[in-house]
Amino acid sequence: MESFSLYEHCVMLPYDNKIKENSLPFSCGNYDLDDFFQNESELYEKELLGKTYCWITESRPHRIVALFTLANDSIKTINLDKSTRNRFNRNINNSKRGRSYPAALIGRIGVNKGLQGFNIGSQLIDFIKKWFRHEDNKTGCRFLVVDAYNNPRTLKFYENNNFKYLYRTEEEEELYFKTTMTRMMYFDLKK
Amino acid sequence: MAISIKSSPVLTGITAKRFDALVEQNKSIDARTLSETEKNQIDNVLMKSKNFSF
Repeated sequence: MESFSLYEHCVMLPYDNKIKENSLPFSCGNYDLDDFFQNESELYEKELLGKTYCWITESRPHRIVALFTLANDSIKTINLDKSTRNRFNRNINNSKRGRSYPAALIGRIGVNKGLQGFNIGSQLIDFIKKWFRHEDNKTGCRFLVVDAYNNPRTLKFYENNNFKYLYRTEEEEELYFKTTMTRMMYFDLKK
Repeated sequence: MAISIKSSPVLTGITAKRFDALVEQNKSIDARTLSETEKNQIDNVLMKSKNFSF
């Protein structure tokens, strides 16, 4: 299969109107995600609720290959039942265990529908993992978290990228979040 | 994660052998810092981003 490397063919930039004006229109094939990137991401940024980045091709015409939005978050162990909390805490050095651990939320991810099937989503996740372990990172951040759409394709994607379920079952998660539309998943940046 | 000898009373008067054993035991905690290659990869991305203009 032909390959496409984000690192080789693209540049990553904060997503703004200048990018939209200088790039071909973007669609990942999901209406909600497209709408978010087209109309809402700027507002999120202005309100300091999320920052969106894009990978665009270096060659012209510039094509937006992928977009993703990040926000600060945390994993609060008070929202976990005792056995899940104990299981989760095994990730953490005994002397540093607490009620809350810093995390970065991957709020949205979209890959250009014309470039799906090139492993770009996983390349993106791999980049984010490394980016948050990079020495220039400004804050302590132990986990990546994602509230993944509860469908087999999306869950499989995050499982393949070594994310784990915060709650063992949908039922357990529903007790805390009152919905089974999404599943909270995390990746330990120490692993 | 570094072991702080000053702040750790259990390490007072520790022998070099015992200290090495503790470091060995804690190695897994440091396992996922970036390798030099990975660090360069991220540096390149950030550099390309900084130098890019339309």
